[in-house]
Amino acid sequence: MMRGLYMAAAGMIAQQRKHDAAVNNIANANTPGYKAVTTTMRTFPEALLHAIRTGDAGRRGPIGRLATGVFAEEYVPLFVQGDLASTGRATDLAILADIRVDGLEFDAAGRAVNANGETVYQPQAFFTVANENGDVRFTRNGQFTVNAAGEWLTPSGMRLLGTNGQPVVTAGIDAADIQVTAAGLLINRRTGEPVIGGDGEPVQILVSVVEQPYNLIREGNGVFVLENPAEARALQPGENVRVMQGYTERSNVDPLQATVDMMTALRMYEANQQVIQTFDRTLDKTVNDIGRL
Amino acid sequence: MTAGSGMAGPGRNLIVNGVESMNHSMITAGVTMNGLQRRLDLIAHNIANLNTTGYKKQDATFDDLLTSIKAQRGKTLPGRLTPPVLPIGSGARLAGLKIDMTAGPLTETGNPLDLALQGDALFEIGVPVVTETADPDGGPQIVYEPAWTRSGAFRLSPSGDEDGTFMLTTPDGYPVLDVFGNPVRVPAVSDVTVDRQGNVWARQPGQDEPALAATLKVVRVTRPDLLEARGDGLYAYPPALMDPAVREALVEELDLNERGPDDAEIAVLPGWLEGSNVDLAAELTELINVQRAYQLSARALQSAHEMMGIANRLRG
Repeated sequence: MMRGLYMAAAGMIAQQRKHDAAVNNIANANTPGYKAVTTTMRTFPEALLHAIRTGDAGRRGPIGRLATGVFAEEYVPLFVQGDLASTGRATDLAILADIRVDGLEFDAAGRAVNANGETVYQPQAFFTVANENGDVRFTRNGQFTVNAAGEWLTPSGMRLLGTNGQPVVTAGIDAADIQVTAAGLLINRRTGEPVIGGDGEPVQILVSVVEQPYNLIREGNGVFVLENPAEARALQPGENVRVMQGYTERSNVDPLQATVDMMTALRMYEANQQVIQTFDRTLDKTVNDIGRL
Repeated sequence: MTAGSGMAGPGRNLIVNGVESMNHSMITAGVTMNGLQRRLDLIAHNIANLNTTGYKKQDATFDDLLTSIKAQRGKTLPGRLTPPVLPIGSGARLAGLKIDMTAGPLTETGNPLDLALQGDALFEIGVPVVTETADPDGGPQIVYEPAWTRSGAFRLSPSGDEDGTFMLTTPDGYPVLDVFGNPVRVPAVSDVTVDRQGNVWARQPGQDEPALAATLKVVRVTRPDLLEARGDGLYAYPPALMDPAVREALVEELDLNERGPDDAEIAVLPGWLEGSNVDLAAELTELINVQRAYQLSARALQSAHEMMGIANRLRG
């Protein structure tokens, strides 16, 4: 009916999504390994407006294009390295990563433009975990606990995987006696020997590198999922990634930014409400006043 | 291990389409405040036990809550970065409650029955449990379930038995167990001392030399991260792991007499007590952090409340 009414309503819904994302960021300002999320807005496809009947002679035909509204298109995670906080616990691990790609200089948001003018994103490193179905997930939350069977579990119970694709198991060793090297190898502090896993090989934690980090979908419980698991590869020696034992990676949420985002969304929501109210009053006049005898 | 079953399209092995709700922000903020409140409770518990002998502080961490993943149908517009789903989070929850078993600071008290442990070891305490099978003498039988503690503030309590012996107990009355799993008993009027190897000596009046009454049971648990707090300074494995057959593999008995009086690693220190391992500075820092996070979430709740008010005032 009145285009503007629906545009304003779409605006309110879009701002609500933005508000939800900002509130979730604030809520997870203390969650280890959490990556802040930004909302991108997008306009609906434009409509071509065409005058069909007008009193003005000669003014017929197309008027021009008009965008018909806005929607919150995507929640984009910000893959910036979080600060490391020292906890001193042997089972707390953090990833300190700054993967270099030849010839590219990544900016603070992990973006670079290559020689062809294409935007390239910095590959990101993750711990690899398996949920109860055995599906592969990726996480930066390294606060593991070791259960009675010696499996390393995330706070939601997913198993940490080793380079052999199997869960990491350190049965019979007190977790405080395990040293994790920067490459993810497990060493028994008392003997100085590598911890041997069920397959007879030294146990090494699998750090996965995802070349296209924006293909990751945030599933919750601290993990990301890839639509195509083949896009993740194992960490190669010499890449600038270190596993830090005794540290956790803090959330990379900036509370000030999140609060400002929240306030902006609220006021934009209110502004759109005013627009709707204006249209309401206009419609009121159209329906009730015009044509009154 | 099977590789992930992958996704044929969005929603294949993800939870898709949570219920669309207007007050999502409010739920997120409310749930998070709940988690932060429980974190505050933990901090308060730790601070309250700043001076409790042998107290081991508890820590917890946060985890972000399961998101609802909305599939976005329709054409994917050019320039889009992420896959065509909108993952909506619901805040954070408290997860991973852990007990920190590091040793606390030692203080000298001079009381011969105040014992501290040096090294990775625990005293074994018996928690009396009345069993169904009756004693041959007609009364119900009492069995002692083991629990462990670092707090060695022991005292002598009358055992109530006809022989008039005294038992070595914790301040709450739980008997300390000897190497045979029985409560440590000493004759009624005796001068009790404990040596560095956990041997309990009782000298009766009129005697020159003390007699060996019992040897304290000192253990090392191989999985201290699995211990749970049982209250009264006692720690034990979860019930499933306390089954005698399973427990055997997870608890190591230490024979201090075999190790000798000069063992540098493990020793009983009579006249000393181990204090709480709570670091007040760290707890207060965390308290400030959690308080500010709580304030921020409350602010977010207010904002969500105002948004709902704006929607309500749309018409009239």
